[in-house]
Order: sequence, then C-alpha cells, then structure tokens
Amino acid sequence: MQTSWTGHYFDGRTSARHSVTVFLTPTGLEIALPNGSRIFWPYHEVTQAQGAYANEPVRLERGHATPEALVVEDPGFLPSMRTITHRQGRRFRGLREFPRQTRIFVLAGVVSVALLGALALWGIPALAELVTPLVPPAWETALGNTVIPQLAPVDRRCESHRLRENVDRIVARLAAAGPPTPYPFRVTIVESPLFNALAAPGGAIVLFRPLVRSTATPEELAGVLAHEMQHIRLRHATKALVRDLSMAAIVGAVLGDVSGIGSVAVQAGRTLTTLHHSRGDEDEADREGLRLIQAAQLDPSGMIRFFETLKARTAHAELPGYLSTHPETEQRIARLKALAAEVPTYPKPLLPDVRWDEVKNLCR
Amino acid sequence: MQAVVRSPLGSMPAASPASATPYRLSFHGSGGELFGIFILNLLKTILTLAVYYFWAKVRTRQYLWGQTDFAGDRFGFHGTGKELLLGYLKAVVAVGALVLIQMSLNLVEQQILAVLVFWGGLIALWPLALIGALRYRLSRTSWRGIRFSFRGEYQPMLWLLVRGVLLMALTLGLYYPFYQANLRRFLIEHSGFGSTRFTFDGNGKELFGKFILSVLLTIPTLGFIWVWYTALQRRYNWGHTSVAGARFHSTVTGWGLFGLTLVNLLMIVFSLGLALPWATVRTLRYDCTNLVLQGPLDLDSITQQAQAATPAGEELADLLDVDVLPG
Repeated sequence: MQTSWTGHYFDGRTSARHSVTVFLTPTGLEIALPNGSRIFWPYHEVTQAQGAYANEPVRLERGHATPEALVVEDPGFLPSMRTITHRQGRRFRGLREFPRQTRIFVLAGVVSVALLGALALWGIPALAELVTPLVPPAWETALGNTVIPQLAPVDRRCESHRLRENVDRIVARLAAAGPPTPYPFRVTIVESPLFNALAAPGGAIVLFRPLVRSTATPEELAGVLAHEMQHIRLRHATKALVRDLSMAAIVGAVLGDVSGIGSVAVQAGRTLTTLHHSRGDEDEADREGLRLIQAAQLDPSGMIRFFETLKARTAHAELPGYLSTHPETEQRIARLKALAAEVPTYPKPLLPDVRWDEVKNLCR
Repeated sequence: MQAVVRSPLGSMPAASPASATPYRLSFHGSGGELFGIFILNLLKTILTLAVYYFWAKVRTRQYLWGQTDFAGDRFGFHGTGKELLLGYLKAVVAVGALVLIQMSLNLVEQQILAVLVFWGGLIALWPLALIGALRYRLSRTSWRGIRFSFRGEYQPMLWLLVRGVLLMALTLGLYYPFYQANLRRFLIEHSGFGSTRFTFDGNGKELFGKFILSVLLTIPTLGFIWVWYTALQRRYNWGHTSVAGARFHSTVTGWGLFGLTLVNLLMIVFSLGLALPWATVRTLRYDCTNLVLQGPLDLDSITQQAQAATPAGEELADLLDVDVLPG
C-alpha cells in the first residue's frame, strides 16, 4: 500500500504554501518540509476539516485557535489513511458515496415531510393544550389589553351609559350562571362598518355596532356574548397564539430563516388582531355558550335566531368578518337546535323592563 | 488597452486591470450534494424541534466555503453550532427586551413612545448586527490557514447609518449613491486578511449620473434598469477594492444578472422550491467566475492576525434580516 503522498502544508502563522511529502505511519502523519525538517502529527490530535465530498481535497488540521493545516489532493490518500487509523481506533470520515447517499436523501425527504405534517396536525395542537394552562391569566389579560386600543379606538367607542349598563347586566347574568373564572369580563362596543364580535384573551370582548343593532331581542345578544365568554374561559385565543407561534418558529427554522422568529412577533400581532379560532374551538364555544345560556335560564332560541339573522345576511351580503372563520352557519343552527333540545329549559325573561329596540341603537 | 463593459447605461471604463496574471476564484460545488445537505439538515432540524438549525448552518457553510477556491486553495469555515446557539440566545434577549418594552408601553397607552422606542431600538441594533455578523463571518473564514477579520466599530457605523438615512430623507433618496459608497468604504476598509487590509477608493460622485439616469428610466423600463445599475455598482465597487496592492476586477453584467435571476426564479417556482440548492450553486458559480484579483501580489508573506469575535452579531443579523454584504 502507498504510504507517501504529496500535499501542501500551512503553518497557521503565515500564508506561505509549503509543498510537502506526507508519510502515513502507524501512529501518526509525518510531514517532510522542503527545508528538510520533519513534523509529526499523532492521529488523535488531527481533525478532519474537508474532504468528505468528491471534488474536495482532504484537509486535516491540528491545533486549536489558528490550526496548522495539511491539504492532500490525491483521492487515494483518504482511504489509505482510514485503513491505517481504523486499526488505531481513530475514525476519519470517508467520502460520501452518491448512490447510497441518494437513497438516504430520498428517505430523509419523505420522513421530513411526514414529520412536518404530523407536527402541524397533532403535535402543535397538543403542545398548545399542554402549554396554555401554564400561562397565568394575568398575562392573558395584559396581552388582551394591548390589542383593545387597536380593535376599539377610544374615539369610536360607544359610551352611552344606558347601552353599557344593559349590556353589563346581560354579562353579569351569564357570568353568575357559569363556573367561576379568573377573567374580568368587559364589553366594549365600537362604531364600525364591520359586522363582528371578538374575544381577546383575558376577558375583553369587542362588539361591533352593526352586530348589536341586528339583534331583535336581548336574548340574541346574550347568545353572542355567551359564545365569546366561552372563548375567553376556554382560553381559545391563547391556544391559537401558542399554535401560530410554534408553527412560525418551526417553519422559520426549517426554511433556514430565523428572521422568521422576528416575524413571529408580527405573527403574534396578526393572531391577536384577527383573533381567529379553529373550527374545533368554534364548535366548543357554540356548545358551551348554549349550555351557559341554559344555565342562566335564558331562552336558547335567542342564540339560534341570531345565527338565522346571520344566515340571512350571508345570503345577500358579502361581509366576511364574522363569517369567514366561523363554521357553516346552516350546520351551526342545526347543531345548536339539537343541543338545545337535549336539556329542557324554563326560560326567565332577560331585561323585561327594557325597550331593546331603543337601547340597541344607542351609542353616544 | 482598457477593458470596456457595455450595458444599456452606456460604457464605463473598468478600473484599469494590470497585466499581471489574474488570481481567480472558482466554485466547485454541485447542486446534488448541496441538496443532500439541505435535506439531511431539514430532517435533523425537525427531529430536534429546530435546535439543530445552528449546526445545519455550520454544515452548509463548511460545504460552501470548502467548495470555493482562490488561486488554487480552498477556503475554510471554522464556526461551530454551539457558539451560534449561544449567540442566538444573546440576540433573542436583545430583541426580546425591545419587544417587551414596546408591549409594556402599549399597555400603559403610550403608543407614540412605543413606536419611537421600537424603531429607535431597531436603528441602534442594525449596525450592531451588521458589524457583528461581518466580524463573526470573516473571523471564522480562513484561506491557507490565515484568518480574515473585520475591525469596524459600532459608533462610526451608527453615525454613518443615521447620517445616511437623514440625508436620504432630505434629498428624497438622491443621496443614495453617496451613502452606498460610504457604507462600502467603511465595510471594505475595516476588513482584513491576516496582516493586510482591504482598501476602497471609490466615491458616490462617479455613480451619481448613472443613478439619476436609472431613476429617470425606471418607469419606461418597468424597473428593470435597476438590474443593470446593480451590475454597474458591483463592477464599480469591486474595481475600486484592492488588497496588498492588487485590485479586484468584476465582470458582472446586467444581462448576466438578469439571466441568472430569471432562470433561478423559474427553477425555484417550477420545482416548488426543491431546486433551491441548484439555484444557490448557479449564483455562487456566476459570482466566482466574474471576479478576479489582478496585480502584483505576494501571497506567501501574509501573517496571521486572528481576531476574537462572538457569534451574537451573526444571529442578530439573522433575526433582523440584515443583508450582510450587499452587492
């Protein structure tokens, strides 16, 4: 077997390139410099920096901060060195061989795609379920408060005392009927062309005025409020935030773009301002909302009627807002009707002393 | 005879190349190998829930650096995944602190102050990221065992940036060629290879006319004129960069850049991103074949002057999306 090779040696102190002869001895590399002197590199002090790819010369280094280096171009050198060092128990990396590598690549690709899919479908929702209970409610309230000024600018809020008082009475009746929660529910009504209602994490609910005005009875508004209160109690917005953030972080890392993590901040803002929920979360809020209505001894047909109004609106208006992220209205109505029939209710009237058709139109 | 490069912007004499043998750069990497590295990195990154990202970055760079040769010797990359991870954690603390301050100011309804603090913070961090990233990258790059270095300081960089932004705002952007030249000078003149320094003798004045012409031609050419301007600026910048008495010479052309970008774009789009490694290889090959160093140069007598540098800037640059060496 060939034991001497030609190569280049760099001493790590100057850029001079020395043509050298390299000898593979059983315990190390012997490098014969042009000036006649010899350097000995024990194998255990040698690290392999380059040479794993077909057209890359082997580059060995020795030393730490600014290592000496030895470069050998001959493709026969690496296999010979590996044979000798293998007996010493010191392993150097061989050339990556293409056909075998290709199979590994294809396999790695398929496994990656499968893992990403599994992560998005089950891993991340499971993570959100796990992490959300650990978030202190006070943080959720603080987080929610940061978006309220954007969703409901102070100068566009409906400050009518009579309107607020009556809406607060509905909230109080619902809150009293439900299990205790750490969230102080606060409703803000805002002048806007949008037909929408949002629940920020931590207790803040924003109602857009067209939605309030579309309700025929206070029971209809109670239906919307019960739905939003359950979003808050079940921490749906916080879960969505955890889901979106971990997804953005993973996608960022996978695509090799950590500024993805900078855009995570952007994503957090987007999640919070749109406050979209998954289909599952919407169904849960519907179901639990209806149960809350029944527990408060309110007529569940009010909530159902609200969705019927919603359906009528969708039929001849293109107002996505509330609708785009919500399940098919038709299905929702059917499901709510079935749910309402499961438990008999003996409703007591809500705000019997109030002329709702006047109150709902108040603002300033 | 002077080399003359033709382009829609007219002819511009390139900095007179001396007659000495040119030292060439060449890139030997293949898209297939890079694809393999990308795929394995992807799998490991997913399996480790993104922690491997930093080691993946090192692996990719080791490959790209090792496949690039200058005058017959390959470059080396000496960074480690561990130091990048630590640097990333530091950078996250800096950016996180900024975001937290902004959020708490929002909380106490100080929106205007929050916006000011956030953008002020970003402007203050940007030069830190740029300098840090260059320092890290160059100090971890070697050729013939000798390390590169970047010794630019924070304050002059911040001043250069703030002054540039203000003057550009005042002149409606017309100051850009001057800012670009000043930035380039700062970056190049603080870069070194062992004991030698790079020098830059260009200025904004010489590009100003072509810049104005490009502004005027933006609408008639649907903006494509800027590809030619970019090529011109690259030739100009390299033509005015020298090291140890030898001068760089770039042969990048508008059509060349246009073709490269267009084909890369089509490749990436029609392969749903899978052709990214091949596009990367095409770009590096184009960049390397179009840059030579000409002039008398003693490549053997440069001595080591290594520089300590933390990787925090590298990761900060990634977080803030700072383009480290534009053009």
